[in-house]
Amino acid sequence: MMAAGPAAALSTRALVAGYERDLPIVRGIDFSVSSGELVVVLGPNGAGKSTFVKAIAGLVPVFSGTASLGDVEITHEPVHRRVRHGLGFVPQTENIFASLSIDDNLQLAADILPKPDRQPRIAEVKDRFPDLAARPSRRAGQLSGGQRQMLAVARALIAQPSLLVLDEPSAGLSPKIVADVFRQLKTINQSGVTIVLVEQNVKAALGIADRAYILVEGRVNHEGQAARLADDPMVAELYLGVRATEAS
Amino acid sequence: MSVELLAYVAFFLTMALTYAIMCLGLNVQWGQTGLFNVGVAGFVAIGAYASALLTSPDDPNRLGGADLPIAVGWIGGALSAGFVSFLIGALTMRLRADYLAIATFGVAVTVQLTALNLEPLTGGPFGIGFIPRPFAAWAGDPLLFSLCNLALLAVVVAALYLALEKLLRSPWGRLLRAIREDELAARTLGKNATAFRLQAFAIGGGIMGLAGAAQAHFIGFIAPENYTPMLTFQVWAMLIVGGSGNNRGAILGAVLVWGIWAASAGLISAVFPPAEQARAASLQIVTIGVALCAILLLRPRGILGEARVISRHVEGLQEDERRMGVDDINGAVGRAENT
Amino acid sequence: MNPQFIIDGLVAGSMIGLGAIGVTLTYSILRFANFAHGEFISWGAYLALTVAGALGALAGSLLEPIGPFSFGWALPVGTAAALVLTGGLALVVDRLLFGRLRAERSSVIIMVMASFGAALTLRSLLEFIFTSKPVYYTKALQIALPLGGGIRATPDQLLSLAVAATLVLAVHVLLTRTAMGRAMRAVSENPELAGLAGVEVRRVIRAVWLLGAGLAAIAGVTAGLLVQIRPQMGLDLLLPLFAAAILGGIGSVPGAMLAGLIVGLAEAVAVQAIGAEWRAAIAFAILVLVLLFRPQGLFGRAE
Repeated sequence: MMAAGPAAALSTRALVAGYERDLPIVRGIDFSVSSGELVVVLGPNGAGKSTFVKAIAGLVPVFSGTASLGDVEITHEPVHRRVRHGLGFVPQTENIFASLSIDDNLQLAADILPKPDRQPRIAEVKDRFPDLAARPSRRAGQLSGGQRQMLAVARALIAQPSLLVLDEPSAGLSPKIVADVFRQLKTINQSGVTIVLVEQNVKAALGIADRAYILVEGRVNHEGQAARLADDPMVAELYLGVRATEAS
Repeated sequence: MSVELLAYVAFFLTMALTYAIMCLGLNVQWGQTGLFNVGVAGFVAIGAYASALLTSPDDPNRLGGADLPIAVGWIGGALSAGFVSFLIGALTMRLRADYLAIATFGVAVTVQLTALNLEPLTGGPFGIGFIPRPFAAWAGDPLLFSLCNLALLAVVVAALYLALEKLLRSPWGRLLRAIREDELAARTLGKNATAFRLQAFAIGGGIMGLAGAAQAHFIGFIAPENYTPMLTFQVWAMLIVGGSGNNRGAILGAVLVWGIWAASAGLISAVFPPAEQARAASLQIVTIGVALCAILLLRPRGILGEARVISRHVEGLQEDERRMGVDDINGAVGRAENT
Repeated sequence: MNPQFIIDGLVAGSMIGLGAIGVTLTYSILRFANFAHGEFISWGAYLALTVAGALGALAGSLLEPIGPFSFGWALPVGTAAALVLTGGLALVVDRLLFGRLRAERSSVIIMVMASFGAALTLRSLLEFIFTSKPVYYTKALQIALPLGGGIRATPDQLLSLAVAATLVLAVHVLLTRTAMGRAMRAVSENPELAGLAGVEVRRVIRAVWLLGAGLAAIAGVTAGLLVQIRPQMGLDLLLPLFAAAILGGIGSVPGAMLAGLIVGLAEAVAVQAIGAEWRAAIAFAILVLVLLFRPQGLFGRAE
């Protein structure tokens, strides 16, 4: 099901990427996300999920194929330019500047906006994350795991991305915090931001996603409506490493 | 070939071999273990002064001059340089790699300063003379004298080479390389990795001290100006040209670079008027500096390259790390800049 | 002890501090100890000398001393030119050497070694062009003014202190209050994440070189004005620079300046107590003490 036309917020065609040319980890992925969707990328360990989204963000070299944001081809654009084309990326670890204050984390991201828009935009994002607004001059390194994740998402949202990509936002968080984070992501999605999410936490992710891709060995193995995949015990057991009973 | 020429060739080769010893010492530190020493000249100077003090005849104008046998001086030189290396290593080994570099640079500066100013011990700017020369009894016959010295140095270099090669292939040597090549292995070994690095650094420093002692006895006098950063630079150039990690390369590099150095110095004194010679000499350094940088850029493993002794297993581990995206921090700057 | 050491120490320390700021910035953002940083000091001094000399030859009135100072307008103009030219030199070296090594993902230690090679090349180039004979910006002699308490200082010395203080303040404001400063701090912590936050890392690296080399050039002019200009001057300052950068805590600009002053004062005390010939060993002693007791420095965080 390839979404066609200008509506695709993100698409890749036969994308091959990795750290070494003769040993690509992403081996030809066709992928498409429509504007406004929330899509989750699943798959067993070592399937290349993380490498795939890092290639989209420009952190991993692409050897062949293309990646586009809307109408703009970004395959070989430098990272900072992709941000200006509307891509927000939240890495799995080290996704905040621990030595900077909360405000500086947000201000840094706002510096690419036109000057008059910066402070209003920061205020807007802070409204969404009241935890961060409370003590703006606190060093980000002192935040709790959940607060860090919120700051990372907030930082990525500042530049008003059309597409937000998150690499395992639930990693290392308690179930309660994961629920908070996911609820927050759903709200962000409903406010019009397209979201692509890499997850190990299959159940929670399928719970908020519209659609899911399952990667195996660097290729797309399955693609479909999230609800349908969640109910398919064969898919759950074979590709997601969870028992059928858990996944239902 | 005339006798003079033969004697000169023997002299040239003997000098080259003293540099080869320094190179072998640096190779233990850098080539095998990846420790960067910017103060080679300092450690060589420690060996030279220690040996000179132990073996030179008593001099009323300064302390020392124990008049001991040459062999005692050489061993003393090696031990003192090894000891200072140990101290500096112990100070910096647990810190970031370039702290060691900065500290060794400090050693070189301080040693030179001490040699220059601690006149009662070091003779100050005039240095120490009358250092006993091996085979001094035959000094009347320049050719025989040179050949004997050459033979002695050749034996020392050969013995060192064999010992280091053996060490390199021992479990200790393999561990060192594993630590150097592979952060994962280093982390697994934890404290032990630091201890191994420290041992290697002290041994390398000791060898440099031995080189300093050997050179001092061959020339017969020493002065602070022999141990400027220039010397450090020369030894580095020798090792890089020969190929770091490769003992044969270290020796070959020493002979080659010393040859180029001596030849270009000869050329300068022949071609330029005396007033311009200092200037021309600085251009000589510029050329070698550019060459060093060019080798780092184009052939970072040197001209001979490293002898491949790394086990397949270690390479496999490295492969895994790369795949997992573990990279050194500097790589991260490069990546962020170039993607 | 003669209190004069205070002014001598502060003057020398402010030069060390200016150089150490550059060292600490390159260290924290480009992540290697740059042994060529001292050469920017020497090159800055000689470039200013060249430009000021040329200006003086064109218009002799530019050499007339300004007010109480020993130099004419040719020197401030020459310094401004040297600032730009030394920055340009740093960019050229980065383009030819360090940038390429970064692109190859070279290890820290290869970078350090390359900087060592670059240092020798740059220094010998100066020796080739200007020979190793000391030169001076001005032959004018200055009377030291009594400041009270038995302390005297020349107008040039006081000016150099004021310039250093202004520059430190300016760099501190740049780092803490401006977008470029935020970007520098971000790249220093995590270059990849900085890119994801929209920072152009390449631009930040260029800014770091310009800033570091510019400050070094000013330190060089000050050292040349107050002491003398020699191709070795940068090499002689290198160990104090490293000692100050590490003592201050890598990445900390106020730390580098404060530590520079501490190193300068310690040197001045040592000169009085044990003799000028041991000055250079003080930086080493401080370095050893810091590495022994507080390797993260005064303002650094433990890693």
